[in-house]
Amino acid sequence: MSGETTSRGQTRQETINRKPAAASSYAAIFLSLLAAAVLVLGSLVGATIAAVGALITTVSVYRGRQKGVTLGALMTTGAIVAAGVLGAPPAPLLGATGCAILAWDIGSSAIDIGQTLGHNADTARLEAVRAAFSLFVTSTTATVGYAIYVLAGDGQPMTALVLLILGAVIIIAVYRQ
Amino acid sequence: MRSFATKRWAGIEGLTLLVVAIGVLTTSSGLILAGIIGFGYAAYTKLWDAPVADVSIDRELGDEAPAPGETTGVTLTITNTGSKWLSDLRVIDGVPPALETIDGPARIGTSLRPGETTTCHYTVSVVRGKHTWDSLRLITRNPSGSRERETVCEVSTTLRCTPPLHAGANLSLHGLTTPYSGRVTTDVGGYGIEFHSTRAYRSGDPLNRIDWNRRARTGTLSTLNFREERAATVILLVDSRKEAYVAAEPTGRNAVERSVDAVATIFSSLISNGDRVGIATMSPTECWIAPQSGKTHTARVQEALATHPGLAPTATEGTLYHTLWFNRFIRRLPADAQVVFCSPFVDDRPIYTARRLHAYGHLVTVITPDETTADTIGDRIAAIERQHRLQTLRGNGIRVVDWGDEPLPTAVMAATQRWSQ
Repeated sequence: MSGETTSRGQTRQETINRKPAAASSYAAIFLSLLAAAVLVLGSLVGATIAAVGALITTVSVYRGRQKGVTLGALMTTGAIVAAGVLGAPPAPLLGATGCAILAWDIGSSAIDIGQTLGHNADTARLEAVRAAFSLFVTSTTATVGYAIYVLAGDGQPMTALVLLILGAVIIIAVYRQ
Repeated sequence: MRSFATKRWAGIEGLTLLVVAIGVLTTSSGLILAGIIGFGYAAYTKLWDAPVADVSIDRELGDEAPAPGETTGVTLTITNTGSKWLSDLRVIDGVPPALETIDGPARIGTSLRPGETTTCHYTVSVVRGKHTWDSLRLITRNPSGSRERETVCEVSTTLRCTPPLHAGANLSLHGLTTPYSGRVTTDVGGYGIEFHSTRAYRSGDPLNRIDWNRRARTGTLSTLNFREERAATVILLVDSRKEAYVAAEPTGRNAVERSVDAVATIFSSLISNGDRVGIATMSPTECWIAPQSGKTHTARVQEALATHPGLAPTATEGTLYHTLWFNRFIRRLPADAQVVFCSPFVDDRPIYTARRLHAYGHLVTVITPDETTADTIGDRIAAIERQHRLQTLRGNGIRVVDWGDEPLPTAVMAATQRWSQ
C-alpha cells in the first residue's frame, strides 16, 4: 500500500502555486506588444518579426519559462536590427528597444518572483519598485540617446557617436573593476 | 552570507556591442543610439551590491496552544533596522513540516526603506504535537537583480497542541490479568458477581457464599465461586515507522495520527477502569512509558501522545533495527502484560511483531486503521494484501479490529461481536 496509496509521510506544507507574479506578467506582455507596435512606425518587416517575439514572450510568461522570455526578447532585438538595417528612423528604434528591454526585465523577474515566493504571495510592492527602477533607467538612457541624436544633427559624422559609445563602454569596464 | 552574481544580465554587453557594430557597418544611427540603452543597462547592473538584510523579525501566533484541527494565524512583522534601503527583500518563513499553510503562502516580497515595517499574515491548520518554527530565509537583491544575498535569520516560535483524552471505546480485554482487582472478568473463581462454580465447603468460607439452597436440599455445605474481576496490564504499541505514515487521501490524516487517536481513546477508557496502561512505539525514535495508573501517569501519557517525536504527525528520520528493537521491547514488557498493537499493516513487519508477541504469551489485540483505497488496480492489490495479512493474524488467534472510516467505538463494537472470549 505504501507505494500505491498516497504516502504523505514527510511534510505537509502547502503546494505553492509557482506561476509568475500577475501584475509583472501583464506589464511584460503589454510592453512586448508595445515594442512591436512602435516598430510599425519604422519598418513593417521589423514590426512583423517583433510581433512574433511578442507572441513568444506572451506564451513564455504565461507558462513561466525563463528561456522563452529571453528568446522572445532576442527576437525583438533581431526585429529592431532588421528595422535599423532597412533604414528606420531612430525614434521608433529607441522606443522599441526601451520597450523590449523592459519587457524582458519585468517578465523574467515575474517568473523569478513566482518561483521564489509563489503566485499568491504579497509581492505588489516588490514588483512596483523593481519596475520603477527599470523604467527610470530605460527612460533616462533613451532620453540621453535621443538628445544626442537631436544635438548632433543629421550632418554630423558617425564617428562622434561611436566615440561616445566607446566612452560608455570604458565607464562600464571601470565599474567592473 | 556573501553576495553572489545571479548572471541574470549575462551577455547584455555583447549583445549591445553587436547591435552597435551592425549600426556602424550599415550607418544606421538608430541602432547606434539603441546601443546607448543597452550600455545604460549594462552600467546599471554593475551599480550597487545586494544589501545586507539588517532586519528585525517578530513572529506572533494567534493562539499558542490551539486544539487539534483548529487554525491559527501567524503574523510576521519585518522591520528594516539597517541604514540601507532594501529595494528587493524576499522573506520565506520556515513553517514546521507537520503544519499546513491554508491561507496564503508564508512568503512575502517587499521593499523596505530604513526604519520601515511590513507585516505578512498567513494561517496554519494545526495538528497534534509540538511544532517549532526555527528560521527564516531572507533574500536581498540589488535593484537590477544582478547580485543576490541570502541570509538565514533565527526566530524561534513554538506551538503546542495537546489533544484532550476522551474515553470513548470500551475495548474488551483478554483474560490475562494482574492479581489486583479490576474490571476484566477472569476464569478464576472467587469474589465477584457472575456465577462461576461450586466447591466443597472449607471452614472459614464466608457465610454469604454458602449455597443455602443446596444445604436445604441435601444437607451438605458447599461454597459458591464467582468469576473474579481483576485489573489488566496493557501496553498500547503504535507502529510509527516511516512505512506506517500512509493516508488514503493526500490531505487526509495518516495512519499514525489515527493510531495515536485510538491509543488516546483506549488509554483513557482503560485507565478509568483501573487497569495499568503503558505506551510504546515501534519506531526509530523510541517511546516507552511503563504501565502504571494514577493521575501523574495520565498526565505524562497525555504529554507524550501530544509531543513525543516518536509519535509525531510526520515521519522521523532514522533506521529501525527491528530485531534489536523487539528484543528490548520484550525485555521491558511485564510478563502479565497484554498488547494492543496499532498499525496500518501495509507491510509484513507488523505481522512478525504481533505473532512473536503472541508466541511469547502476551495476548495481542490489533487495531488497524484502514488506509487502502480502490481507485487503481495497484490500490486494490494493496488492499487485498492487507486483508490477507489480517487473515493470517486471525488465523493465529490474534484479535483484529479493522478500523475503516467509521468512529473507533463502532469498529470496536463490530469486531467484539465476532470474538469468542
